[in-house]
Amino acid sequence: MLAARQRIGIDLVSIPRAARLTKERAFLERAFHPSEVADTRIEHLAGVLAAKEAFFKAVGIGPDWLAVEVIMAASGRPSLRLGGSLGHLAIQDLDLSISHEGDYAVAAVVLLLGEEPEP
Amino acid sequence: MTPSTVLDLLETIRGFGPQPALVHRTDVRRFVWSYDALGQSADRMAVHLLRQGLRPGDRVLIRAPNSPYWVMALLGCLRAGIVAVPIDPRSPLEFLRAVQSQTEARLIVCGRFQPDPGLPVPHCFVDDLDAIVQESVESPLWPAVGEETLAEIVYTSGTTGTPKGVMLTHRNLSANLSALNSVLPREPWLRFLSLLPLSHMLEQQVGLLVPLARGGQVVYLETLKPTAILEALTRESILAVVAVPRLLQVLREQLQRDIGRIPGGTPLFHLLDSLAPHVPFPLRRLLFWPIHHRLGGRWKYLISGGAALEPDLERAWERLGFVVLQGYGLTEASPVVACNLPDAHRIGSVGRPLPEVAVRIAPDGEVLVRGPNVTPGYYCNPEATATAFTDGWLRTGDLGHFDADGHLYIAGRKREVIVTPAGVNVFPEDVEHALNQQPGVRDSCVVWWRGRIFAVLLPHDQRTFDPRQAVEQANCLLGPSQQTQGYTVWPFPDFPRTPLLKVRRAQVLATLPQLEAGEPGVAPSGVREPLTTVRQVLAQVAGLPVEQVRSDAALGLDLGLGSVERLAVASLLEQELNAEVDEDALTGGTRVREIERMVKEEPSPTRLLRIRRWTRGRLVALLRQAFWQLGLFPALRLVCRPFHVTGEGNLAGLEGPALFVSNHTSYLDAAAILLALPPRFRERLAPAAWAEYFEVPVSHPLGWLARRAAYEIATTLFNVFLLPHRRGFRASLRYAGELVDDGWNVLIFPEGTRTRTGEMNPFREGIGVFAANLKVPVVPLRVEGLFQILPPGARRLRPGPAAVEIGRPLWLRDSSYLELTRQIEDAVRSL
Repeated sequence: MLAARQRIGIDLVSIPRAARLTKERAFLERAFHPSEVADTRIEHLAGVLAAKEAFFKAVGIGPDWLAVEVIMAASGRPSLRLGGSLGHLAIQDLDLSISHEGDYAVAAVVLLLGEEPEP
Repeated sequence: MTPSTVLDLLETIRGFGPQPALVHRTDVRRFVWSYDALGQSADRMAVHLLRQGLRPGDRVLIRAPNSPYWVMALLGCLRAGIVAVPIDPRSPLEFLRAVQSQTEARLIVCGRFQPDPGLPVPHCFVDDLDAIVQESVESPLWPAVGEETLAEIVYTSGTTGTPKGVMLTHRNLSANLSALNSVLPREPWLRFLSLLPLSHMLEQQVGLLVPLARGGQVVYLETLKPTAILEALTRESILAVVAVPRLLQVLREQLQRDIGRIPGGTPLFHLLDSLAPHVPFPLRRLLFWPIHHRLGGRWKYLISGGAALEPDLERAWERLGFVVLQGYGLTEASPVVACNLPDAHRIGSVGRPLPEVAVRIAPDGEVLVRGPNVTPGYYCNPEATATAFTDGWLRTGDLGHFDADGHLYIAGRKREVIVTPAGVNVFPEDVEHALNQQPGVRDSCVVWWRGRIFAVLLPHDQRTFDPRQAVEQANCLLGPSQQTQGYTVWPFPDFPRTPLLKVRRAQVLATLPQLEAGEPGVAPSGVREPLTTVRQVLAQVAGLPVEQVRSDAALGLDLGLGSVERLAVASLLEQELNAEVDEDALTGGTRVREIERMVKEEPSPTRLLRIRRWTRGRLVALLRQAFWQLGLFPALRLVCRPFHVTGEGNLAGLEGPALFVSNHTSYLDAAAILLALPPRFRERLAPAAWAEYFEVPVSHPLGWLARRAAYEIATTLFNVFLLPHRRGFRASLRYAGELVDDGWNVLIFPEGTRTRTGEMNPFREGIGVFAANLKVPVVPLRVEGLFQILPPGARRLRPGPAAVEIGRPLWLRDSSYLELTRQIEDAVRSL
């Protein structure tokens, strides 16, 4: 039984599909921060898309692609950075994991919501 | 005066000094580089390369979309004696790997938004060259560069087998440049629009070096969608365009689509078009004046190369009053061998050979070329080099002949000739030409398949196309040995094409077995044609043939589009159709016909996002000044007692427009900032207002009226423009770019809304997007005291002290919008 304020989100992205989409400049500009495209391997980009989608599912909001940024540490461990427009969500803690194999990339997000802010 | 190396060219162009050389139109802004700036940047680039440890003779791959930075990278390489290896950014990754294994390049200069093959070679992003060329450096002793120094290795866009790298020396490049320069017409106004990749020699020579040698300008676009091209033509007063025939066809189709949108446009156009052949050529521009005016009014020349230009297409453009100059060449000849000129012109011919270029026809009909522009050979490939030359003449692989006046005609590729069992030579190009003339046929590809001449047809509309009839009609136009004996309809949106949009016949041929077996398969990759309808966009994203996109299909359930794909749909609708559709409105259940309706719909009357450009005009500005000086500022001083401004000195050295950023506490904020800023900024300041505020439905009519009045006052008296958080964000970003290009400053309140508590809210990340795209200094501002004077929700003013603090301008560079936002937020907080 999960604690009341815990959430999970998971998403699976087809890498060949992502490859086709990321050929379009307009799509790249709307979905990614330039920092996220610095590593231009398609598995990475697919993983970033999966991570963002997993986050939105966990929170239960519609996607706002540039409001989150996937940051890869030198160790390879990913993390999520949230932008100001998500400040109202009161997320206390958050963790992200990404994996890819063959034609698929998958990401999972676990988060802990804080108390509801005073209205 | 003949520059003997391209570097001599660089010296001569310095003489053009402050004149504009290169114009860069991004999605948001328009940047201009003068000849001085270009020369300086090239030198700095060269120093940077040498500092990276590169030595003369080393190779550098340049794989990036066209831009002034591409040009600086090339010129920097040439200056440093480094061999440039340009690669079309759209070429497949296997090609890139093959090139790298041959050239062993020590650096790749690449574009930011493109997939990388993961080669163990250091790379440098082409837009980071911005920072590199800003840094002032001392010019070292440049490496000696002579005529025989290798300048570039250009890989031909081969479709099969190992790629071959054409070596081009400085002499090759300069010889072709001076030959072209001596024959191309002289025009006082010389602005070119770049549409072909710079990795191709045709664009480099005719589209870059020729205009630079003459002090002209070249305009580079960040995206090449037809709407952006037409916009550039209109706004930039373009004189000439270098294009491939396919692009000329696409532009013509786009033009006809635009004409079709005007009531009565199409019939009128056809009428004029039928009159045109009877009108003397110089008067045709008058006949089609509205079209020429729309296209900038100066566009006169179309230079066509890279593939055979259909005579009908050539005549179609000539009827409109354009001078079409078809030329012929190959990378191995740097590249131009022959071209038509205004006074030496034959339709269907590729013109006369250039001065100093010798052309001969071999006994089997092959065109042979010799001259100072011809390559010494292929890089590290002596066998290929040996087979390419006969007795010192370059074998072009094309078959052709001369007419009595010395005009050259090209019949077709020697390699692609179909030899029938009867021993007759059939050129697929001839059969394709007949097929392409049939109504309903958009393009065709003829191959030898299963012992027959086989036509693969690409129709305009799959649903209504009758391939049998098209083939039968075409056969009536062809000789007995050219008859198409079998056909099929290409099921994908387009043929696989080379970067220059030539159909990759070999790839089409290789796909035929798959088509025969009825396997749907994945469309072979290549350069995509522009998308013109909602269904094509959906088909492209879903990876389905267009016919499978029915109007009652739901995005999620029927087309299988998840939220990522729905973002792709929204982006493509904007990129290809110029239609801004709310991403949030595209759900899994949205049907195709609803999207078509959304795209067609005029913005609803409550949508106030129509940009009001007239508020920047002179008269309105004067009225505004009067209102401020006589009314607003005195009133403000009454309420803000005392009113302090600190930090004006920070703006002392700031020239040019800036992005002003402030915290948001009250309705009085913008007015106080106007009062606080020095006149030269105040007079050209456009504050941004949160668009969605004006869109929340208000039931009470008085409330609606008050809000509407507020909108009118804000836009006229304060030059406010609307900045939405979601739909229309990019349109506002582009408007902000327009303002900045025009020398106006922009003021944004990144919290998005006034604070309720007096504490600053986190800044929305949109400000990072603005800062990254506008590329101007960011000036942080802090307002104090206004929250107490007029808090949100208050009905009365409570006079009191107020202050505006102006911070130091920041020049920010970061690849993360969130990071930029944080830096800006920190700057405002620290005030």
